[in-house]
Amino acid sequence: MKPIWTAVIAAGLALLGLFGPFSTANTDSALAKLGTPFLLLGLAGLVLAISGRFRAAMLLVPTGLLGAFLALQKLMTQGADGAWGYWTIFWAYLLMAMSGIGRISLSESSPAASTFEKRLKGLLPPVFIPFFFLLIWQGLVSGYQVPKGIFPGVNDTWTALGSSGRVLLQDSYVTFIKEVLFGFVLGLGAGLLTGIAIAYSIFLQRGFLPLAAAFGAVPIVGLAPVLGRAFGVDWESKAAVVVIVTFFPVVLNTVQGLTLIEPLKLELLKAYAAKPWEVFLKLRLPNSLPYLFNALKLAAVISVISVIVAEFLIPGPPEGLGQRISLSARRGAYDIVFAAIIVSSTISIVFYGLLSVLERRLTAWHASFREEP
Amino acid sequence: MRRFLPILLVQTAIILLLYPLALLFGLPLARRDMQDLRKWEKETIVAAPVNNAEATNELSFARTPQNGILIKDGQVLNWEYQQNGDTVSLTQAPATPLVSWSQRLEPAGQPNIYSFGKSIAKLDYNRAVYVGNKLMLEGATPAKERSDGERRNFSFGKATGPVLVANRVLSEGRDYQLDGRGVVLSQAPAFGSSVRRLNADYAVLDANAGTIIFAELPRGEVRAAASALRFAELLSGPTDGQNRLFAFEHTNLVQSDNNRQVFVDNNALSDKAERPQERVDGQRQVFTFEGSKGIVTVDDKALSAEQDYRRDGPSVTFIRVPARNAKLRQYPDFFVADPAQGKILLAQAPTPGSSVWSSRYTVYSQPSCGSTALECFYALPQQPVPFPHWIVARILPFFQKFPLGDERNVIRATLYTTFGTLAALALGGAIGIVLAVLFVLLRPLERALLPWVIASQTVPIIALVPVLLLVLGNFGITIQTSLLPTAIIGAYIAFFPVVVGTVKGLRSVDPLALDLMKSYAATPLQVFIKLRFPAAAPFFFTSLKLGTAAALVGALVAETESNNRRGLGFQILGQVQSGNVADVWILLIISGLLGIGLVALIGSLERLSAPWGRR
Repeated sequence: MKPIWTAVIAAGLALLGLFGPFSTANTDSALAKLGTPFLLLGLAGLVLAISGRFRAAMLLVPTGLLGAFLALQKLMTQGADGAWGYWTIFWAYLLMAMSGIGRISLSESSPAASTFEKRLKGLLPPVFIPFFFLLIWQGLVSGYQVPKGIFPGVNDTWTALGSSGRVLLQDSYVTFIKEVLFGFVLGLGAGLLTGIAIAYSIFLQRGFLPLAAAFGAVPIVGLAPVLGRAFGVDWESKAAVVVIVTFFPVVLNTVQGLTLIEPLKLELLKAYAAKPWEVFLKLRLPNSLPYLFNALKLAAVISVISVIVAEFLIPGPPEGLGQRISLSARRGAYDIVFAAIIVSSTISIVFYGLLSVLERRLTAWHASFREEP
Repeated sequence: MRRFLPILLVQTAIILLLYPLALLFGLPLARRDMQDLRKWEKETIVAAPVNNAEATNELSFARTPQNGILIKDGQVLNWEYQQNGDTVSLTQAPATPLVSWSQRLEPAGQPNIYSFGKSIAKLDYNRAVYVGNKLMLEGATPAKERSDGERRNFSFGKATGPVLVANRVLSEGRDYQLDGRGVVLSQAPAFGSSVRRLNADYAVLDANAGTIIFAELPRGEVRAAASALRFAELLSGPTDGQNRLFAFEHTNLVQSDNNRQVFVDNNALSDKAERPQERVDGQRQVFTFEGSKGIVTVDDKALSAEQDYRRDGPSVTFIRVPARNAKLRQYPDFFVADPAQGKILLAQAPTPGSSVWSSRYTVYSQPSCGSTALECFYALPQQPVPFPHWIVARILPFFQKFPLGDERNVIRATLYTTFGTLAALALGGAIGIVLAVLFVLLRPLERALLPWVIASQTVPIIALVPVLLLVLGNFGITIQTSLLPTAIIGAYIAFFPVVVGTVKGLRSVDPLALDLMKSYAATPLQVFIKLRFPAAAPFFFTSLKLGTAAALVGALVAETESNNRRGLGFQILGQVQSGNVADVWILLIISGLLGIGLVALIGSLERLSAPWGRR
């Protein structure tokens, strides 16, 4: 097996960094601060990198992450900017872990490779990438001693999540259940009905469809204040925003799904003397499902963002994640802002995931789910 | 024609649909305005002086209550009379003059302006002005519109007299022209100055100088009365020695009315309310008031003695402990028990045969916006959905509002947003293409990053705008001087559809063509340039169109968060805050057209660079 050269370089740099100054607090070298075990960790990384086997690459990932994490942790206790020793060690270990992931996922899997190996190849990168993000985020914040009021670290955000978790959950209830879910269902229903009407009317197809497409280019956010005026500043106006952002993609995709049908299939049903409602139920509706789910997944993401923008632009009662973010940002509590963003992202990812699962269930027959050759 | 007719029809239908929609959203607000007493006009019902100062038996008054009582100098006159509608006939000739004169008013420069010679505030409150022996009525209608420093059109309802701006009389022709029911001033009055129009015989012109202006040149001596015979309103309710509840003729009493005057015979009743000396803490039961008599109320509800409280001089012992911070009051003389019905409760029942009367009280007379919901809808300061023709009417003034040199000019704002969007689109498109190529080249990278690309879109970027501006500001890049912040925010949203679409496009290569390339030993670069990019071009452009709308939204959001007064986003926020809903709609339409225009631009770019993509 060839050595993993990037990891070899990374391990070398990690060892070199040990002899540089660790932080600006004092002139102690990194080795003195981190202790001998760190020398061993670096050596272990070097050995693994040179060996270059699959198992070794697998071990490189946790080794690299551990090294970066330990260095970061030490720096956080120092309370001072990192010096070049720290930066070298920190980035070198991250590079080491990255090289490990690279080797695992890029290696041509031999036909003899075990299923475990194959599965690992697929799973490893997505699982470890978040750790990289978190480490880099905290590493930069701690390394440059960025104050909490400008850009909070992972630790500050975590603390904020713990301390204001209750409030954030209540806000999420308002934002997601009252505003997004309600608006989403309403927009979906209205969009479906309109879509069906358009699909069955040539006149509307000619007249309404171009307009509906044009509406896609209209920034809905600007409509938020107007809706606030019409529906009041409470949750109803924000739900109305969701209705609108959901409505147009659903209409466009429903029409496409209902009308873009292979003529052969239509002719077949005609040959079987199918009634119009049978054609609708057995052909058009299933045919439109993949399109519809595309629209729904798009709308799920947009509606969350739009609702938060709407809460920014329609200041109402102080509830809802957008309001929380807006209010916290105004008083410089960016840790709560980040915590709220994380909560909102998590929920919308779950929302998106649920839709994907539902899509897989309902449209498993569709070409996009077939195994790629 | 066949292509555009349906679009035109549907468009017309949508525009027409806005009319019922405007009413649907506006009428509830209008109704709420109508029912909100605070937004009602106040009217002070005053016992009016006698119309004719000459002593006759037949008296008429400027305002005649249904049931009245003759008074002068706050004293009930025991003259015998019969009331017949609006006229009061004395059975005997009046014993004293009906009016005692105070002073003559002197002409003050201009023909129909007269002066008291001293500040109006120093005069008797019940001032009455007579020309000759005839009573003059005072009144001026304030303009329905507020003077904002720019407005020149004002309307005054039915008033037709001279137009007054602040303390100045305007002359028709030179200073204003009539325009339908309103007037157009030749010069816009300063911000906040009062614009009035006479609707009666005279109005106070300058209270400090003590000048009044008449609608018509007075023919005769102009005199002010120190006191005059008045016909005061008799409150309804039996005076049987038991009853304490009396009702005014006009309803919806203003509760905190400083000028209310209620009398029982010749005794003026006090309007004041006494507060307890102790704090209402929810535990205390005994409270001490200033006086030792009166009606005790808790939260504007009158309590009944013995049943609800026991009195021992000024100290009152409540049977039920009043709640914390409850409003405890003692009204020594009377209490407005039911303002909606115009009823007051006297502390002591008047003796049989005495009369309860009022010479002055204030009521909410009618909604200030109008008498019907529709009128109130028109009068709303901001309709949620304006009628389409209002929007159309606003277009020209809106574009002319700021000169081209001002950065708040709409055309400049639109250009600024266009550049911001294009910058965002360029950045987002570039990031999107790079990521897409990387994803296609390195499958594992896609597997690792794609979930996070999706997750990135769930982050509400607007929340990060302040943070981003702060961080960029550290590097000396501000939204005032650079388009970069706008571009980054727009690109963050715009790159997503580009990545997804382009990846799909790069993969949509005909496998046969790929095999052919392989058999010619093409390098990966050649495969990309000759095969994958051309195949991806239609997908790329389609997704770029999706990205355009996203980039526009991003640019608008970034502009709302900045304070550099540039761009459509800032304009939208500004118009929302100042409540110009029609202008908001115009801006929305402009941004919509901008979005459509940019999409069309991408479309023509596509036709130029990748004509094979079109069917």
